[in-house]
Amino acid sequence: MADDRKRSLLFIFTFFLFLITYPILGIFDHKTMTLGMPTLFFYLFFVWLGLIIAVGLVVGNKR
Amino acid sequence: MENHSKILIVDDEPNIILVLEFLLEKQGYQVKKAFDGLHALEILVDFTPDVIVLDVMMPNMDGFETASAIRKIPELEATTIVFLTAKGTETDRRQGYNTGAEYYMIKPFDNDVFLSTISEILAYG
Amino acid sequence: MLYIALLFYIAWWVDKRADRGASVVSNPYIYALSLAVYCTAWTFFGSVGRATSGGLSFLAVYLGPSLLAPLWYMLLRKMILISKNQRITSIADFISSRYGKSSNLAILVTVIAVTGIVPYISIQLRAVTQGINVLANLSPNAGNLEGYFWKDAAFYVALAMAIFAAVFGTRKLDPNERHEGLVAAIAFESLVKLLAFLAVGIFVTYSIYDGFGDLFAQAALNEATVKLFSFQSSGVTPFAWFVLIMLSLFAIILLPRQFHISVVENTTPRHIPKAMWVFPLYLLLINIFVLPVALAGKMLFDGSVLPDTYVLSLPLKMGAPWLALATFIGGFSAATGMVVVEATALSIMFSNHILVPLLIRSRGTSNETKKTGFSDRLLDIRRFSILLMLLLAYLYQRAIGASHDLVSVGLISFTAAAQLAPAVIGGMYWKRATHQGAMTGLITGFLVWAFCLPLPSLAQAGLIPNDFVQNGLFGIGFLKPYALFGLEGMDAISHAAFWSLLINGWTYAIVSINTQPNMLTLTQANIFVNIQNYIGGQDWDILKREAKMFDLRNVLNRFLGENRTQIILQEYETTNNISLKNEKNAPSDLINFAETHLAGAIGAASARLMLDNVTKEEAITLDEVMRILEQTKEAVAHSHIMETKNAELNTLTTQLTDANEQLKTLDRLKADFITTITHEIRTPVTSIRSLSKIILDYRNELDEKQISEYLQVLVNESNRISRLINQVLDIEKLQSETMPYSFEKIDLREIVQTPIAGMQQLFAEKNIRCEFKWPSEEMLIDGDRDKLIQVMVNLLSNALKFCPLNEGIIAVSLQKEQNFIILKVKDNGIGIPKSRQKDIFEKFTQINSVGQGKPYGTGLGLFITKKIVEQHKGSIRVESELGKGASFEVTFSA
Repeated sequence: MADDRKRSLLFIFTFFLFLITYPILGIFDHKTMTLGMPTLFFYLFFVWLGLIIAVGLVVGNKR
Repeated sequence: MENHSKILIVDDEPNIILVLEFLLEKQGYQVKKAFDGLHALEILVDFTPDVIVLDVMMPNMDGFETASAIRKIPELEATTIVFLTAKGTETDRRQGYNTGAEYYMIKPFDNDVFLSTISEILAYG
Repeated sequence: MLYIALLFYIAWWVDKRADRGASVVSNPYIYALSLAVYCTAWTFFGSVGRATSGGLSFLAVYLGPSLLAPLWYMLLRKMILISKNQRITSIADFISSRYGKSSNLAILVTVIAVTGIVPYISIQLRAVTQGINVLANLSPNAGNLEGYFWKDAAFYVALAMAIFAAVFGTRKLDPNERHEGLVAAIAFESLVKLLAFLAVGIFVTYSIYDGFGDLFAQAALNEATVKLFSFQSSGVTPFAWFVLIMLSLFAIILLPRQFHISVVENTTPRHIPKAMWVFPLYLLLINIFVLPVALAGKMLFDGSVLPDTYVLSLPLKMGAPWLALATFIGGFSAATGMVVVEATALSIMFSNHILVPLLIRSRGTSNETKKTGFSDRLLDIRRFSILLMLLLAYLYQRAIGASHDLVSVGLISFTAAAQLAPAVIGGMYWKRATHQGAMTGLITGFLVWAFCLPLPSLAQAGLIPNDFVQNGLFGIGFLKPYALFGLEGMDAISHAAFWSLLINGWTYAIVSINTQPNMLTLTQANIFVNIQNYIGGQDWDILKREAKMFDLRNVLNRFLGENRTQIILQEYETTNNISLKNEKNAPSDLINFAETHLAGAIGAASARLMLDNVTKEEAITLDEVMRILEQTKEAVAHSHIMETKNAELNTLTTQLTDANEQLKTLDRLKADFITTITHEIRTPVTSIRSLSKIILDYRNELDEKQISEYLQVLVNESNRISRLINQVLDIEKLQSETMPYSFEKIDLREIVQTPIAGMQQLFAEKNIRCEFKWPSEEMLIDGDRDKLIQVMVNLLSNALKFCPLNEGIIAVSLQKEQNFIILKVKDNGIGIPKSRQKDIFEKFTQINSVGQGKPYGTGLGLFITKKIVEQHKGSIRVESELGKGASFEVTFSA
């Protein structure tokens, strides 16, 4: 069980590493606006929150 | 727990064979045993274990020779060799690694440490 | 002032609770909050400043740690387990401990940490000074650069912080370097700075503007601010962004203060899972308003105000001085938190690895007069180190001045901390890494870092000649600090990080592969990499050490104080259930026990050095067995005499060579002997240990038959050990010439008859026939009755061992021929090959019977037999052919 958890956490790490670096980040690197916020600002905080929730779910699961 | 991992134990001491066989079979591994290096090589002709647990001081063909011989068999490239021996000097250890073994454990050993090492090997290769 | 008093009160209260055993800080949320010591004045003032030029690039510094958080479950947990197991108190301790407790490495890491972190501390001083100036309505850098230092506000800030840190971090000496009060105060500060920043953010966004939408919409219309919306337009390259993420990812575990809070102060690894999402959430919250505040400042001030001070200037300008004051307290919190923890962490390293070893070396250990009060001095040393750190930081900030913004100076420190990454992470996962590898990797990385970052900035400040920045070192174009080896077009941080980490990592790996780790490094490597096997204490120590109880107690007293020493020794006594009162010599495990405790107070390398002074170390040997080899000594003595004579008489040279040859042979024999003995003892011990554990663990699953089978093995193997020990002792007696042989007239007929009668039971068990025809004639010789019976027993049991079941025949005969008496013991067993017949009388020869495994025996029986026979002026020989039995013939002169 612990191994499963380790694998998910490792996956989260690599997955989000790709999301917040180029080239994928380049897709959102514009001066445009999304929902009243700069696109990049919106994207980074959105992904960040996703990361926190993902980690929270994996570690919270066992309890 | 299901487990199809295959393990070969090589030791000339019947009592140590007894212990290892008991411990490993309890974990559900498939275990074969040999009493010296030559015997081991005979078995390896049609048995491809994931791990070989090898003693060093044995009659006919010692563990170091056996390990070197095993490392020359291409089919056994993925097999991990673990020395389990009473020979504990630094020179022995180095010689052990030089023959191509991945692990070197010293007798007497702790049952739990031994088993966790084996399961670690099987998990991470 | 009130705020500082409050912090002290919290720390005092928590320490008091902790003393009563009710830990307040052992709580995952407090742990996560205390980790937020990561957010310093840099975050509070600097991020906004950075955002006005680099847009969202400031976020990398927080995304990196958040990204690493999922891996804490493996990485940080492992670091904590290792550190608790080894009583590690700092990152320098961690690295030195991994690579054979090397004190050189500890010093090197300390130097890297101190030089690397000084710029970081300096920006805290600057931020606080600028804050005070803004509040007092002065220009932010007023009085900073010119004029005497006593007119410089920053100097007093440094002094105040030093006192603050000294009081906080060195209130008491804890062997594990845990300071609960400190942690509580830090966690509280983290809360304060978060709330303060959120307050100013909400004020700017919702009071000055009409919410996010309004603020961003206005910013989008402004040429200068819309640039900051994307990386492309604000000039941040993909590579620079990536490097920033990586640097901060390393920094979160490798910065000395982060290591201190997350590893050393950690109360249990169970707090990690919660911290893994709470801490990133904290980072997210404290960063949400950074960009809005930066945009607002840029739009409202239009470059007339220093961007690093926007968080203060905005509320001031908008008529909310109370908010500015609250914000300042938040920023002050951030700065003091960082300075206190960083200075504590650095001072632990500095005093444990540099000052204490120096003191030990210069004073020696025999200085009995000053043996008390070292623990007080240790605290003074700590306080002194803290003062020194802050003074250095002050000097640095005075030298560099305000020419760089806060974040760029801070990043210099991040790059320095990242140099520790290969040694730390490699050390935890790569067993093969050696001390030399870590050493060269760290040195090269550090040199490249120093050359590319702090040196040019000092040069630009005019402290050292500026020439090498433009033209390269010694005028060599390839050695320009901002374009090393001709690599151009990167910003200074990415450039330095790229080269220093690349070179560091490669030398670490290459040198490691090409050097051999020493024994201690190997042991430590094993502990670090396979820590899960060592949890729970017992590690098999390769070295066996001895020390006088008196010396050991002295060393402990000196560093831990008498009370603590008493407690430690009592703890040892109760866990091992022994009394040390009358012990003169300290057992090996007590020394190890003492070393781990001492390591807690003064670091692993220093502890080792201290104990080396009082212990003598010996490689593992069978002390008693060694004495058997009296001959060695004789040969040594012989060779010694030869040597002196050789000087006078060249004719003796050949004899000397012979003696040396003999000595070498004996040495080899001794080595062989010990190896064999060790092997022979370990083999049965292995079966005994494992089988008894099996019986213990599986007693409910095993059936009666199995249990008795296993118990029988235990009995047999125990017998095997006792037999071996008896025989080893016999050899010793045989070889010491003073053996008290009681020679008397003995009738050999009786000597032969007695053991045969005694062993009837054994013969019957294997259904073996033993024939002996009682000669009519008396067979008298001079001899020792017991010894001769032993000869007979050995010969008989040897025959018994090889005889086939059920059809074995042992024929014993005794006859007189002229002046000799000949004793024959003949069996019909498997026989001995011709090639081995000579060897069987040597020590540890065992003849293996093909297909039957190894016979039980130690290989000493025939050796002893031969010795006894020879001492009776007799001789022994064997006649045999494979498969046709063996006949042993002993000849005595009548």
